[in-house]
Formats: sequence, C-alpha cells, structure tokens
Amino acid sequence: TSSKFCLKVDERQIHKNLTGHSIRSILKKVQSPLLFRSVFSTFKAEIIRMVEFSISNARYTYVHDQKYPSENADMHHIVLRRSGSKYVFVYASALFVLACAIYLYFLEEKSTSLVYYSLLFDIILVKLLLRKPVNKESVVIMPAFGVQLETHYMSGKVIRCFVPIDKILKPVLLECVTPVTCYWTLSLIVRDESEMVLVFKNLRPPIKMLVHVWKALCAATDNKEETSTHTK
Amino acid sequence: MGANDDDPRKHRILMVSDFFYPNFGGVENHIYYLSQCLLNLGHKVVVATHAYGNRSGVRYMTGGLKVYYVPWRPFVMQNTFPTIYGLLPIIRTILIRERITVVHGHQAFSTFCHEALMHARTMGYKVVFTDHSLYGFADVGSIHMNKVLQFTLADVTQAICVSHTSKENTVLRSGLPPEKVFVIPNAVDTSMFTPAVDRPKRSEQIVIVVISRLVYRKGVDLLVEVIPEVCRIHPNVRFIVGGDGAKRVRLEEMREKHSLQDRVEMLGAVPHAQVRSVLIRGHIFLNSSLTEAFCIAILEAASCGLLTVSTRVGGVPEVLPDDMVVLAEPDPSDMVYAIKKAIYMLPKIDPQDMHNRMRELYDWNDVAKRTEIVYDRALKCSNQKLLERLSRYLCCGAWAGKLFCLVMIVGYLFWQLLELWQPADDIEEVPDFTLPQNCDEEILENTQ
Repeated sequence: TSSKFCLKVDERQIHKNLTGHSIRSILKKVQSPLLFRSVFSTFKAEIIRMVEFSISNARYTYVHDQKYPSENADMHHIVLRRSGSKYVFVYASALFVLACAIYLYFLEEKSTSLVYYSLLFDIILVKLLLRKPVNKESVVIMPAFGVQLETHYMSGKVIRCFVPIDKILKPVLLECVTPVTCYWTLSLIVRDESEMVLVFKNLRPPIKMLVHVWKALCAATDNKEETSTHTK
Repeated sequence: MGANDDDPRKHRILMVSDFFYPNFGGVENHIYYLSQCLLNLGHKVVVATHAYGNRSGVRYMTGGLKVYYVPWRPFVMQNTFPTIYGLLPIIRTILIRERITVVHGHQAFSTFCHEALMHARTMGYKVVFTDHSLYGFADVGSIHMNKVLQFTLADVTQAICVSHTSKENTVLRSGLPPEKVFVIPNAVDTSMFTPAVDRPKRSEQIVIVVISRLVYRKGVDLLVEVIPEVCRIHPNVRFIVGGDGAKRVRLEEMREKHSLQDRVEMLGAVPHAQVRSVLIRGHIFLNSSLTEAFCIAILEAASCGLLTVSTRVGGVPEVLPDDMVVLAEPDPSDMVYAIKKAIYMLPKIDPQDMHNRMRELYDWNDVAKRTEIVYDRALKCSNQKLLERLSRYLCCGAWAGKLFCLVMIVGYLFWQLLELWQPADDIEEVPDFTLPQNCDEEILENTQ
C-alpha cells in the first residue's frame, strides 16, 4: 500500500546519506504505529541525535528536536496529518448540490438562477471548510530570550509570534468548554495582558503531546526565575 | 489518581442540574453539601450546570469539586433552552473524559437535568434522580411538567425524594413504581447555624422572624392577614421580615394600613451568609408556605434555637419533632392561635438544647452515606438493551408513549452517529488529582 515503503537498503549507506530533514519527512509519511516503531528503531542513533522525541496519533504528530546540541534552541512541532477523506466529502457534497440544481433546471424547467445559486453555495462551502489549511505549528524555546510561536500553512506562508521570556508569567494547561465539546489547550499567562496567549492557535493536539511542550516551557521559565533571583 | 481506580466501591458521580453556585437556594445548597460529603467519603464528584454570565468553563471548588459550566444560555427561570438533543455531544464528552459511573440529576423543573439524564440513559449509564419539590396535578403547566417527568422517570435506575409526602407526590405524578424511590431527607449545616450567645430578653419583646421569598407559594397572603392580628392581640410582639419578591408590595401596604412601621421591620433580600445573623435576633420563626416538600428554612431556624410555627403542608410535619414546632392549617385564624400557643411555650425552650438535638438528627454526612447506598443499589441493576427499555416508554400514554419511543430512537441514532464522527477513544480521559489533606493548612502557614 502507499503508506508502506521498503527498507531494503544497506544500513551503512543510509546512515551516511540521511539527514535530519529526510528522517523527519520519512517519519511524517509513516501512518501505522508499528511501522513507525520499526523505522525509529532502525535509525535510532541518527534520530536520537536529531530528533529527541516523537509521538504520533491518527491526526497529529508531535516532534521534539533540538537544533543545536548546545541547547540554545528547543523546538517542538505539531504536524497535522493530511486526511484525504475530508476533501473527498466536501467535494462530493458540492458536486451533489450542483448535480441536483442541474437536474432541476433541465428536467423540471426551473430557472437558471438556481444553478448559479448552487454554484455560489458550493464555492462558499469549499472556501469555508477547506480554507487556510495549517500544515504545522511550532514552538521554539530560546531559554535566554523567549518563545517563538510559528504557524506554517500549506501554501508555504509562515506566521510567527514572539513572546519575550520576561513577559511570561506561567505556561498553563487549561480545559476549554464549548457548547459541544471540551478540549485541552496550552496557554501562556503574560504580564500586563488580560488575555492569555494560546500556544497552538489552530490545532488541537491531545494532552499527551501538550504535556511535553508544557514541561519544556515550565523548565525555561523556571530557569529564568532562578537566574533573575541569583542576579538580585 | 490511585485511590479511586483501586477501589471498585468508590463511585464517580456526575451531578446535573440547572441550579448551582453562584445561585443560592435549596437545591443548590443540597448539591453542594452532598458533593462535599461524598468527596470526603472518597468518591469522585463532578457537577455540570449551565454557564452563569461570565462564569463559563471548568472551575474547581472546595475539596477539588470540579464544576463544568457548559455555555448554554438560560432562557427562563434559570433553565437552559430545551433543544432535546443539543446537549448530547457535551454530556457525552464529559461522561467519557471523567469516566463517570453514575449520573445524578436534581430538580424536576430543570431542562438541563432532564436532557442530561435522557442522554445518559441512551448511552447506558446508571441514572439517579432527586426530586426536591411538590407539584400540582390540575393546571396546564403542571400537566406538561408531569408528562416530561414521566418520560424521564420511565427509565431511571433509582429515584430519591426528600420526604414521604414528596415520594407520594412523585410516584403519583410519574407513575414510577414506589420500590424504586428512596426517601432521604435534606440536612442542615449545624456548624453554621448556632444559637446566639446572648439572646434578647423574652420579657421585653418577643421577636418573630420570617425569612422567605415573598411569592405566592410561600404564603405571603396569609402573612398579610396574620401579622396585624397578632400585633393587635400581643402588644409585646415584633416582626422581622427578610426576603424579597413579587408580593413584597402587599406587605408594605399592610404595614402602612395598620401603622405597624415600628413593629414590622422589612429587611429586603438577605444574602445566605447573613441568614443566621437575622435568625438569632428572634425567638420564633414563622413559615407560612402553601406547599413545601421539605423545608430547610425551619431546620435552620431550629438549629439556631428558634421555636417554629408553620403551616401543616406537604412534608413539613415530617421535619421536626413535636416539641420544636407548632403546626397550623393554612388559615389566618388558625395561625394566630398557633402563634399564641408558641408564645406560651417559649419559656420552656432551651436554644442550645435544641441546637444539640438538631446536630444529632440532621447531618449531611448521614445524607451522603444514605445516597451512597442508593448508588450501590443503582449500579447493581442490570444493563438493558434499547428494545427492552423502549417498552417502558410505551406505557407512558397512548400518544405520549409512541412519541417518547421515537425521541429515544432518534437519540440513539444520533449517539451512534456521534460515535462514528468522534470515536470514544479520541476523547482523552482526565487524570484525577487529589488535594493533599493538609493543603489548606500549608497555605495558611505560608501566608503567615
């Protein structure tokens, strides 16, 4: 099947040619947890150097890597796994609406404006449900400076938001209740602001992924507090 | 996290009602005190209610009591707008993430409660319902309310009523078999309602206290007749009236008409925290309700050492021993006679002794232990399939039965759809956290 791929290559050759980026792209393509584990164990040494930790579920992949071994920057990524089924559903229903309108026009002599309205409805539906697809959201923690929150879109656009370390009071895990559901979010309590800063603005990763990011953020902000009290 | 998982006798209870803190009232206090005592017994309790203004989302109260303020707006008398299936997704999410075993609904006049219980039953959870009020049978509102109650109680696992009169009323209204109904009276926080250290002298003036919502149900019209008569007969009697409501105007008019401004003091709405300070100013507590399933107000008064005069309605005769209460028919002349009798009985009353007896008789921990027995009994009931349960709904009436069956079937289909759309495995379970026993002491030590 398309999600599996062969590892019938000489391992020494792979270790020479594989970079952190290609390991990451391989991991992203792997759908089944079993295969994920086998890939992980095969390239363990490389992965441990590049990618410190990774968890995956049906919708999201969490990757924690350290860009520089000296721990100047700590990066956490939540990658959205593309699911084709949503696209199929939306386009199929749009097509169905259009087909109904055309049927009504040709066979039951209704006016052409119905076809135009259905076309408009389809365009609005597609725009609403498939707009602004987010590929990945990242958190870059620089212990001395601050935290950078990035949102990567499918189109290649990246939106970044920087929060200086002095402004962060505490990172918190909160339960958010909506009229239909309840989910966990990770937020930063910021000085002099009444609103909290959401770390993952578009994606809703599960709590087991959020906990790692939260712990890293806590460690960064606690370190900052210790150094500031020492200087005092 | 460990304690609850290890012990299968400990329950995980979801209390549902429209009525909870920050609202104050009988039902709200009942849910709060019962939850605190159940937490002390080692169970896990979560409360779900609708959002109150800005108070929306998850909040934690004393003892780690978790409250979900679900953002559905109330529309009339604090009730959520009834959308039959609207609450299904959020209730399902809460039930799965908190790993609930028993759902406990409160108050028949709560749409949130009825809907949540219906959804819990659809999903196969055990359901317990507590009825706190008496309702009529004759007027249009009552007929519809009773039909809704019949629907909810057709398939409830166990039911609790607060007095034997209330049990009779509930069983007649809903057609529930009496074996399923337990009677667990309310209780009172006797540590909060203690008698005054020094009381106003009886020889100088006798003070009669009335604290209630000034509405028709609470018999304000009776008060309007009784107060002038009592003031006429007993020149050394004074009244203190606390509370607010639609009928307050009538009392003010009565005051003006009989020139009783110096003998009848109107306090307006009394916050719950100050009720005790008003009660201890008096010797006698007057309750003139026209209907009452149980009356916590007279418990509070007795706990403060006041002698109670009350109308003999509903569950009131079951509440206090005969030497602590004087009962009268809801008729002005009978009530005046009862007040006269109470004034005569006053010298024999010892407030501290009354308080001690109340402490023995009524205790929220006792209520919690009895409720725990109900939960144990509920969990022992067998799980029934949808088809078997539908037969119970069919008995509700010629047309209503079929309608209820349809509602349950559609609800079941919605639930299956939701299971496909958002599988139960996707909903993560919340880790329990237990507050350390001496958490409050630590905070005190740190601040000092």
